[in-house]
Amino acid sequence: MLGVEPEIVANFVELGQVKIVFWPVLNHGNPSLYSTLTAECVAQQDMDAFWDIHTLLFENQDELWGADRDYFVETAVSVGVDQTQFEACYDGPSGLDAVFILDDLRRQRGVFSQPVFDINGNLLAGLQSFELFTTAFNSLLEN
Amino acid sequence: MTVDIIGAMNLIKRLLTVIFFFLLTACGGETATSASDHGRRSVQAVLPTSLPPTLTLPPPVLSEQVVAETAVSTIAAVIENEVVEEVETVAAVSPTAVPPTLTAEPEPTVSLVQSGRTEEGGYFLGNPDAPITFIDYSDFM
Repeated sequence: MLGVEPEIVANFVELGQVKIVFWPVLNHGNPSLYSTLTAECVAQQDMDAFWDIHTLLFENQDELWGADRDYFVETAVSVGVDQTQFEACYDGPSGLDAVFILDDLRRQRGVFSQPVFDINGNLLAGLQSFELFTTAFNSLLEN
Repeated sequence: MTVDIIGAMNLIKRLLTVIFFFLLTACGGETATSASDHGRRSVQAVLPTSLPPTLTLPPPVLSEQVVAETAVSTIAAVIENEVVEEVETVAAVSPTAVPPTLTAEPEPTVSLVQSGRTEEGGYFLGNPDAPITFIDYSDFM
């Protein structure tokens, strides 16, 4: 998503009112797969670094279409993870297995497009404004 | 014979005179001494050498204004002296010392934002016990 996510983090997450869960969707072939694999292998080492690379990948979406292995390795190293350990995950089966498991689960939940947002079980499809999210959050917080 | 009698009488007169003057000088000192002693004894009678235990001299009576002004000036002088002494002492110990300022110690803050994985494997950011869970199903592409 990224979009209004920084505002949600600043106004709700940091106050302890909202917990954001990123769930990857593989709808665009190998670019989606290797981008998600990169994020997964970073997460296996450092969850704080995962959110850093999550931001980097969304900010550089245009570059991901033609990105190769070296690009993803350099991007991962830039957020502070160990290169050898990352490459072992990226090149081995464990990372891919984890990515496919997550993708299967979202399909089981009926999510086939993106972005889709689930706010305490209420689904919203497509990009939304920060104001709409604010209204939804405040309504739930009041109840 | 007459000359001898007259000479003897003159001699006797001289002797008496000498004796008379001798007596005068002996008795005059005693007389003066007696007079001063009498006077001293008179004074001692008025001012005894020791006061009876129950008798205390009353304090001098001063007007209230004089007392207040005296007290204020005395206290001010004492304080000034003490301050001067204290300043001098501080300067002697640490000439470049800066008076401490009260600063409130910062309260320790506990961040509510954590990062981790959900039971199903999703990547979360925030308070694990937050009342709202916001799941973002998105593709990096």
